[in-house]
Amino acid sequence: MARRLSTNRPPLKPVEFLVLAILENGSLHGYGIVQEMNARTDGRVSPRPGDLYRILYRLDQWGLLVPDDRRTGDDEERRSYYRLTDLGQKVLLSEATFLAKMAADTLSKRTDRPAEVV
Amino acid sequence: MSLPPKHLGSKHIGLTYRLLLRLYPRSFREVYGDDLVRQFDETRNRHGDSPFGNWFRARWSLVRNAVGVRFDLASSALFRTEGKLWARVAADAVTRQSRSPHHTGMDENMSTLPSGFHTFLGNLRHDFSFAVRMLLKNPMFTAAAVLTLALGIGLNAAVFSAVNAMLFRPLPEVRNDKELVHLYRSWPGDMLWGSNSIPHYQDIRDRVEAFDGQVAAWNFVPMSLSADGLSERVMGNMVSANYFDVLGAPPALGRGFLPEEAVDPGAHRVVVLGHSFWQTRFGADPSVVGRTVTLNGQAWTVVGVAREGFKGTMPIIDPPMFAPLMMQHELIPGFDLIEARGNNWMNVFARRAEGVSVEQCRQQLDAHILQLREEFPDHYEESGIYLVPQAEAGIHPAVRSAQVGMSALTMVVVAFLLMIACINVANLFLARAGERRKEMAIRLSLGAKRGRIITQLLTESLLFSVIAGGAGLLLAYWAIGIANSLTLPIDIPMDFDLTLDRAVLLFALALSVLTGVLFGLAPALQASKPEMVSALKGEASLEPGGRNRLVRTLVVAQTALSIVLLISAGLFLRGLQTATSVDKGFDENNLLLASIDPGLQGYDRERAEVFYRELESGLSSLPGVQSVGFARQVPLTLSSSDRGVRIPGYEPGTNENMSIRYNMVTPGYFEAMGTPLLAGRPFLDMDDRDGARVLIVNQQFANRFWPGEDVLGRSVRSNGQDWEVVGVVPTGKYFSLGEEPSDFMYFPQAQDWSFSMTVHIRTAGDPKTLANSVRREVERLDAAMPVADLRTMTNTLGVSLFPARLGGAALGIFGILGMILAAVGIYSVMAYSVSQRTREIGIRVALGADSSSVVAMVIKKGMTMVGVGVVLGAAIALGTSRLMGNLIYGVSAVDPVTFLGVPGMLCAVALVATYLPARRAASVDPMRALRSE
Repeated sequence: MARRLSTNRPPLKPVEFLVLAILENGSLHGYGIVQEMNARTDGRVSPRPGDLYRILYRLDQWGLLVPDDRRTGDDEERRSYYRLTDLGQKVLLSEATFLAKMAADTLSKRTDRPAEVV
Repeated sequence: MSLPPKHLGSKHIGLTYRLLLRLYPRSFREVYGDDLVRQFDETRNRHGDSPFGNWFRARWSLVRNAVGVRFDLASSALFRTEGKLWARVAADAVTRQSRSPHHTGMDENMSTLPSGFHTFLGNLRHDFSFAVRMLLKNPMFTAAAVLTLALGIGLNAAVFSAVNAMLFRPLPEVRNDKELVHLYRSWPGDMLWGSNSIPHYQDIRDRVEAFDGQVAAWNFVPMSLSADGLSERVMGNMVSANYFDVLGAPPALGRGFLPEEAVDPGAHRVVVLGHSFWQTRFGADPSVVGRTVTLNGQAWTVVGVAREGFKGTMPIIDPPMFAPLMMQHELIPGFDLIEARGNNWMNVFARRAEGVSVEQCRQQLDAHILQLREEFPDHYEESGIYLVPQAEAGIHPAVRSAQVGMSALTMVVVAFLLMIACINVANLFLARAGERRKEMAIRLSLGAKRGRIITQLLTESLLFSVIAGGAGLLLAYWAIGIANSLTLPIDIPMDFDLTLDRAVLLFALALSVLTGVLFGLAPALQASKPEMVSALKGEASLEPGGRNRLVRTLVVAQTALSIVLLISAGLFLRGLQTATSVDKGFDENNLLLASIDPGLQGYDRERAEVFYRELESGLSSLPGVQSVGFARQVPLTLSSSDRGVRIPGYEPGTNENMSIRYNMVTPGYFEAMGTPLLAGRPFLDMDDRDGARVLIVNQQFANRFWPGEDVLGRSVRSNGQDWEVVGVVPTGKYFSLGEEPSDFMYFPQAQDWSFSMTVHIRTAGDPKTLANSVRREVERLDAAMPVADLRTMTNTLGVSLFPARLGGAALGIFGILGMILAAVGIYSVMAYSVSQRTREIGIRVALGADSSSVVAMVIKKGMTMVGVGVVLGAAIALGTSRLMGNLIYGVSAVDPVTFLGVPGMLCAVALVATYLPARRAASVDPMRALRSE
């Protein structure tokens, strides 16, 4: 199935995938997403605000996430939260399956060398 | 924007940032704008001072992403459902695994279109954006290939627009030209396209029912026009009064000619102006209708202005004025042609009545000619009526076959060029497909279908060729602009009116798509079946089959095509060379011409004779003038008159052409032309009106009627009189440079009167410097007398040679272009092959091969391909040159100079093209070559 998908459309970009994966744990605001991304990738993926919001906007356009109504803090510190849609959940799962298979295929051919990075 | 200070308040930074935020679409700003700014602030605060680099990068990221967001928005608007669709398909794939196996995977409200179509759209968009990226990744490759292809497509579009304009386009501003037919008088001896006399025309109009009176006649007539204090001679159209009605083209302003203007000779001095002449000469003034202008010294009224673009039945000529046929006396003084059934000089066309077929028209005309034969046995004994439908008429049936031949030849030539260009691009694509073998192999092993990969490669080549097609159209547009701005130095206002109309655009589009598939398909097929294992390992393909064979075939084909092209061009140019160096029977250097017609100024014969005598003596006394003569016609201007002769004691065979071309000249003519007399004497002043009738004939004439006998003193019966031969001149060229040697005769102007004459002035130096003196001399005698066609003989010959020179130049340029393209093709293939074989060559060098043997090896490989192509091309050219036979003058179709020279030249070029990669191969460093993959 995942193979069929790859011919229909290139897979999500890693950073898009990461955003979806982070939001799977619950809705989060933009800055939170960046912090979480930094944490998960040892600082290797750390988009600038401009890049981040373009990705959010794009995923929003595709119907994978929506800005959440829930806000915290007082008036000055109000932030928008984003959460996955049902579709976003499904796509995340399908992409994860696809990537897992790719990763497994790659690693199984390289048994002579230890895997360094997943 | 000023440099940022070291410390900025958050509000200040927010300002520049907020300004840039305006670049985003509103829908983005409303939701994300505040967050974006806030997060920017937080990032900045957390990292403390922001050095300039960070400051700039933050803003640059904003600008870049604003563009990106707008792009995302635009593309999701363009492919509205696409984004969500793939996501749903992916999600459904997961759902299906966990749920029922029969789930359809499509929401009911998603779309009414079949899912295959959406997949197709998605694929297309993906292929398209991928293709754009691939093209941009390698800009030099793209530019070179696009340019090559654009050249091919552009030339094809330009040539097609010319052919379209001359052969296919309907007559502009004429109602349903399919109903029009052209009528000619046919004569024995394959003379099918004879002109018509006025009474003959009137009979057809009044008696042949198939046309229901819709028959019109016209001819070019020089007119002397004075208006707004400016006199000039223009080539106007004398037309029957129903001309505009038959063509279904009522004038844009005022009126056409009225029925009563077809009846009384000389009664209606009215003219209709051509649209472009009205614009240039009368400043597009609408009040010109009703104004009086002076035509041939008399007052005429302008009654109308023709429609814009209207040109009658000969669309390459833009007539400045139209005047009624019944004014023939006033327009051509000294001739009475309205009643003269024997004077055939008009062009006639007719409109078929509704429901009448061409065949029915022919039958009725055949019946009509039998009737005429009974009534006027003298005029119709041997003559018939020949009908040509408009669609087959072209410019004139007499030149149609040459026109079609030339058009076909040019189309074929540019098609060849396009094929060579296509092969080059195909080679480039093949080479690149080789570089992308690994990519293809990975995609195939990941499960991509072969069809998908082929589609994707084809999308690339199509995108490519459509871009090239666009560039080609620009090129064609430019070339057409140049062609339209060319003005020929002749009296008749030529207007080729080449345009990039819908037909040309469609042609270019079809051509682009065709070439895209043509050069894209082979590489795509090849690339989509790489030998998986070696491709994945990144090894270059070493085995000789497959791709390499295809490349070799393409190079051979390319060489062969350019050989055919070059040989054809060579033969044509050789023909042209022979034609121009041929003996014309006169010396065209230092000869100045000027045309004058006192008849158009209302002179009678006596006054005109005086005028010509005074002009001759005036011109002769100008410094730098050696001799002066007058003649009715200038040779080699593609115009001629002929008249029937009878020779006492000579019995012509059946269908033997006894109509011989002639000219009327004055005594000084032969000296001015530099034509020597082989026997007898030139015309003298004593050969005047009252003198004995005399003529001079050429050698060909003498040989035909009195072979091996004494010619002088012989008698020729023509034009109702007996003429005595007093001189013989060498046979020259009269109508065209390519003509067979033909009979010719000269009559003295004094004994065979013509008002309209061209003065031939033999000068000591550059004839152009005398042009103003000649004009002044005419002005001194009569200030109102227009001088037309003041130019040198070499210039005039240039005009008659213009089509051939243009064709020769075009063919030559096309041939050279073809050769360059082929050389580029050979070079790129050899260079690529060398780069692919670096490792192999490295091994050879390591094993002791010296550089000269490596060079020899590469050259041998390249030149073998070229050799096969050359032999093949020469064989094809041998065949095509026979087809071209009638277009080449005086050169054997197997001209050795061309057939040896051209391949030699190409081989030399090909040698250079293979030597360069060979030298690179020889300089391969074995160590590096072996280390590299």
